[in-house]
Amino acid sequence: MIGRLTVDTTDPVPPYEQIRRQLADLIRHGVLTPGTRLPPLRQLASDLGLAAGTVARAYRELESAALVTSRRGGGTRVAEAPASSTPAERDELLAISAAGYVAAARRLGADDDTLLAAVRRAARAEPG
Amino acid sequence: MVTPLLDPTDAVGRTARRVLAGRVGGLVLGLAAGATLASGPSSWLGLGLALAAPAFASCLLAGVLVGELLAVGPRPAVRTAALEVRRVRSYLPPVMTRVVAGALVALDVGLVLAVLAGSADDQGRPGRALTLSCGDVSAWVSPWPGLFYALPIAVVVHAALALAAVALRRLVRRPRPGSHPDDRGADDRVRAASARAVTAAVGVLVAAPLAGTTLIASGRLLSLAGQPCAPVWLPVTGWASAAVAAVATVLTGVFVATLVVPRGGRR
Repeated sequence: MIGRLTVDTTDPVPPYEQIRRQLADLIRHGVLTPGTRLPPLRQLASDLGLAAGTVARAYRELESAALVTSRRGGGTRVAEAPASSTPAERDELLAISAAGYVAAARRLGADDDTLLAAVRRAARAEPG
Repeated sequence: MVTPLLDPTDAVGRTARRVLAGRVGGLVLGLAAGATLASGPSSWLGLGLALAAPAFASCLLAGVLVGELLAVGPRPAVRTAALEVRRVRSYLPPVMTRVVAGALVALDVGLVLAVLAGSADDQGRPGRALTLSCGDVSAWVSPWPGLFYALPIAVVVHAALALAAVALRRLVRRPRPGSHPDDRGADDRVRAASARAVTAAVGVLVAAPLAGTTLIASGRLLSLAGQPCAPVWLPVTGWASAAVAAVATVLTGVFVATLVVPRGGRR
């Protein structure tokens, strides 16, 4: 299965940060395994309708966090031994993701019951 | 407010239609350009005919590029991208690409050899004649595909190759239409059809001038082969050129048929 990235241009979180977070999550949770090549900068930027510099910044920050390695001509790949997430880190990532979802749901005018019902439906559609 | 995602079916269909429209537009424009050049005045000394096929192919490549540039529809506020690495070679038809690469090498080698062998004609036009000197006596034949023809052919062919490279890069990098994972297959078929059209257009770009130059060269070489002091390699080279011309002519027909009768994206 091919992983997917989603960028919401109306989200106050900058697009590079949205990309960085999602890729970091996919790497830390093993969806993207070591050695997996990430899409070329310009291809991903074109697919998301963003400037190449936006994606480049996300990749640079992932490289600084030792999650990916970049090599001229070899593209950007998931690092061989990415730091595995601890339960506390996973909780933190979950909290960040939940906050992002709640913010998006509030912008759509959803109240607590509606947004929780949507989460339950999504969880049923993709059981753990 | 979040803009709803576009209907994926419409997005893929719209992309396919725009890509095809660009290709057909390039084909029509190319036919017109080729016909205009081929029917150029005699004062062009056949240069228009020599450049007709490259001009046709260049217009078609431009059409493919325009189609791929127009393929991108309006972008929704929420955008998705698959974490995939798309490569040009994933879309190119492998056998046809190798044949075209071989024809390109043959054309470049042939043009260089023709330039080296050519001499000025009676009007002083460089490389438009082939001269065989036998001591004090010399025989010459013209036209010869030397510098006079080879330089414009090489310039147009290599400029169009650069255009083909841009078109291929664009067709790989353009965003995927729609957001549903199931659309990848349909979109890949649209890209493969474009890559096939680019390959066939480059095939015409290369094979047609190769056929023309080797056909002219074989005629001139064989006509000089009758001279008393003609070296043994002269008729051999003449017949070899004729063989290359025959193969290149068949290839040109195959590439034109590929362009005119598309296979709907199958490879």
